[in-house]
Amino acid sequence: MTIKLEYVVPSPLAEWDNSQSEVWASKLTLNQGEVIQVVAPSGRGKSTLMHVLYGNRTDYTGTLFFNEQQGKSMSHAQWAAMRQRRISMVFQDLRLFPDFTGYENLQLKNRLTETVSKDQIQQYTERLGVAGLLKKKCGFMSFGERQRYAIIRALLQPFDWLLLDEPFSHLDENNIRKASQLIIEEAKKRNAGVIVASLGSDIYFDYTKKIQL
Amino acid sequence: MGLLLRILWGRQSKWQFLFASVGFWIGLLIMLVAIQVFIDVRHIVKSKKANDETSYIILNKEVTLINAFNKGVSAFDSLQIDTIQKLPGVEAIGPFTANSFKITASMQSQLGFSAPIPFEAVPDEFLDTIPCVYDSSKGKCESLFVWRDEDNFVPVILSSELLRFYNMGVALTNQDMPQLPPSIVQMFPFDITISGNGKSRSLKARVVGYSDRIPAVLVPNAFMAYANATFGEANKPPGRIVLKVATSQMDQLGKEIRKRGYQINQEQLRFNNASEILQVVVSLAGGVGLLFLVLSFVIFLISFQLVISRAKNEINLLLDIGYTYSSVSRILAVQFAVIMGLVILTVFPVLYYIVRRIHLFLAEQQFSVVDKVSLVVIGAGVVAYIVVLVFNTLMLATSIKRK
Repeated sequence: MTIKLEYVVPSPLAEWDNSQSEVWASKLTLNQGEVIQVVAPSGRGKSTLMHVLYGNRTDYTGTLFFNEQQGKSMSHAQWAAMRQRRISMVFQDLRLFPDFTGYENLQLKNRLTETVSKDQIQQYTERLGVAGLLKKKCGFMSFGERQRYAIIRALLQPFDWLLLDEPFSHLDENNIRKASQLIIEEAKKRNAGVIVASLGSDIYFDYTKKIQL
Repeated sequence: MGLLLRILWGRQSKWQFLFASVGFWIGLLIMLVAIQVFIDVRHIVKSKKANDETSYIILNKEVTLINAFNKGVSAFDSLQIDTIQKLPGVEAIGPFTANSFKITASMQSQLGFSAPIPFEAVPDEFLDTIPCVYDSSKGKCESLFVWRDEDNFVPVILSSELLRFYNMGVALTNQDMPQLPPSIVQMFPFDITISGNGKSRSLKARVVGYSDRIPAVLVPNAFMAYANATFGEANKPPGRIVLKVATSQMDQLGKEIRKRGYQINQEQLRFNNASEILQVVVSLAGGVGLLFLVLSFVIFLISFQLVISRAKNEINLLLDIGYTYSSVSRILAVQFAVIMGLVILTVFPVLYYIVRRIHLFLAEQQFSVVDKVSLVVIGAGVVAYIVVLVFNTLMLATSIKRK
């Protein structure tokens, strides 16, 4: 699925000078399979871009295309289908259910499409070092632990694009490397593109493109 | 399903749902029983009406200034009776035979109580009830309203209208006269003395039954024939006649009769009035049931709104990870369908039991009933189930989008 942005300007950024931006108020095409880093100082709308692409924000001018389909013309049901099978996302604020265990949080996602088996879930958690927390409520985990559960959850579905909004902010280098490897593996399996919004330089991704907001 | 249920219900109170379920249960039961009773009453009225293809009317000539003192003029002569008999719709004609002798009634125990009473007789076929006692040796009900020449006892059928007039009019305004319930009146025999033609005879008499149709103090025809022949004058022309007529031709016949200057006393349609009142009462009960139903359903709707607004954050999270509105509202809709299913499943056995008891009671009262729960009632239950389900599902869908 190809994503095209044509002169998109989100309303919070309408007053800004967007002439330096490669995204806002210009034409941009993102091809499936690319690994893209979104570079910007904070406050320039990295999260906004992610939420526009994920359908959570429609307060923008210009046009967003998924293949030929216009983002704003998609119904609620079409967006739900998109989020189940085409686009997956790791939210900056993670959006896990605090009253549910790590395993239950993963199941809530996996049961929509039954993409992976219980064993695979176990494997993923082992690779990121959080297998011991499967039965612990997310509300009682550290932010770093929850971040890894949010990353695993994003992998429990088919997708063409994986959106990562500050995914490693609370992870140490070792864990960042493990998580990056898992993400790239899973993206390659699906021939999917990855868009990473990050303040730091995440050296563990081989970016094919860097775009300046 | 289990996970989503926990997300939506998690920390919610279930009391309001229990409360609403009980309300709905009671409302549904009242409504369905009311519908069943309504149908039963209509069935009874209909079968009565079917029996009432014929009606009875009583005719007399108008008492005017001209005929007031010439009593012969107010009687029907044989020519007039012939004409009336030939009117369209008249199926049978029965003359009232009045006494042409003197009667004095008294009660021995009540010294000084004696009064003249006018007796009348009509052919038995025109009576609405003939009191009888069951004779097990003969296996049938033996009529109490018979008289043979030697009998020293005369059975009397009293107009229930007359007794009402006595109780409500005479006894109520006269302190010396007690009010008399029909069953009490039947318990006390009284003495009558009949005289005329220089002869007299004393007999015992007792009220054995009541008539809604004939407004008179009735004695058996045989007794009246004997007494008139012996103490008075036989074959006097009747002052009143009772007609058996086809109900369908009643209106037409009424006009013909009034044209000839006769007065009509139509049979009391007491039963119809009673059944109409019953139908109104039952409708009111059904209305109360429906009100219960609607109110408890509103409680359900409000409770679901509460569940949704309490679980607002969780629902948004679900939408963020790819759930649809309908997958969320379906959880609550299925939940509601299960609650309603339980309500329906438990209401119907109780309904069957109550209806059975009502039918047994009605059958004991000699009413004709079809002893089963009407399909209409079952249909109403099913319709109520479907309507609340559909309505609730729609409401859930919209309120989840609005949340």
